[in-house]
Amino acid sequence: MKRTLIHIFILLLSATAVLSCSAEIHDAFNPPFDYEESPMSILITGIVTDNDSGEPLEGISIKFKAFPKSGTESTSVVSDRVYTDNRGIFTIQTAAPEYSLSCILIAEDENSVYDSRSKEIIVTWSGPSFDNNTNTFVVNDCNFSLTKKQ
Amino acid sequence: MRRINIAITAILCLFLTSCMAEHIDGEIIMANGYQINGRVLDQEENPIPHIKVTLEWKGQDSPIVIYTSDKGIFYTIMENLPDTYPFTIDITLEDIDGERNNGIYESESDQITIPEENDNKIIDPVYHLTLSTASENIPQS
Repeated sequence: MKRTLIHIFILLLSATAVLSCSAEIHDAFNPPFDYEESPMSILITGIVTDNDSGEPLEGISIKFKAFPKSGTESTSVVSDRVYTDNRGIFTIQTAAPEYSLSCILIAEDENSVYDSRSKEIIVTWSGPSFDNNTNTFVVNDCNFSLTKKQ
Repeated sequence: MRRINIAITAILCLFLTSCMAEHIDGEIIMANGYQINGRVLDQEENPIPHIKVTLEWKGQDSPIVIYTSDKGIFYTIMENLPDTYPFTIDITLEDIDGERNNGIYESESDQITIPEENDNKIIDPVYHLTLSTASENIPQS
């Protein structure tokens, strides 16, 4: 009986600690704005480089569209366009609906020096890419290597 | 009674493990730098895409240059910041694509000072740019 009471007491202390832990947790990914008030987020990062030299490319446009896995691009539910920074790095971060999505990323040089490239990512909200602490589907190293136009 | 004790101990271990794991994830992401999530808007609160944003601070190897997205958002993780506080980050915003996006916006500069170390390592400035009417602001090709 005494041992049981001690265990219950420790359990209550731990429950208190868990509640305070939850309040202090830093979001591993903090979406900048809650403008879509969705609990789910997508975070995609990558580097765009010159295929021949390997040098990072600045100012390359990365178009992003997400649509239901059973749908087509014309039914996109989320879209955005970002640009690579001076290290060739791009980051796409967006709220997204909770069902499975097909995402298309197109790397395009608006100065028309390089050919475009595209990649597809399937977002399933599960598996090793899904951070269930922050409800974020994370894809790192979504890299593009662009070739100069002939 | 023994089974109840074992069950309580198991639940106890589960709570403690989940609590520790969440803390570790948070610390690894934010330990080495600051995250800047900024937004650039026009005077009517519409986002301005493709604004060039330059971030500079003392002791940096070279400035970080990023661009706003179609939603007017710029984002990056700033690492290798000064070890001593306070320190200042210089931010410059420039419209580099001419008449695209409703016209040419005037450049703007800002300084963000981090006074002391704190747990909140996210900077989220919002800037409102004004359309320029001066012809000398047209970017040279």
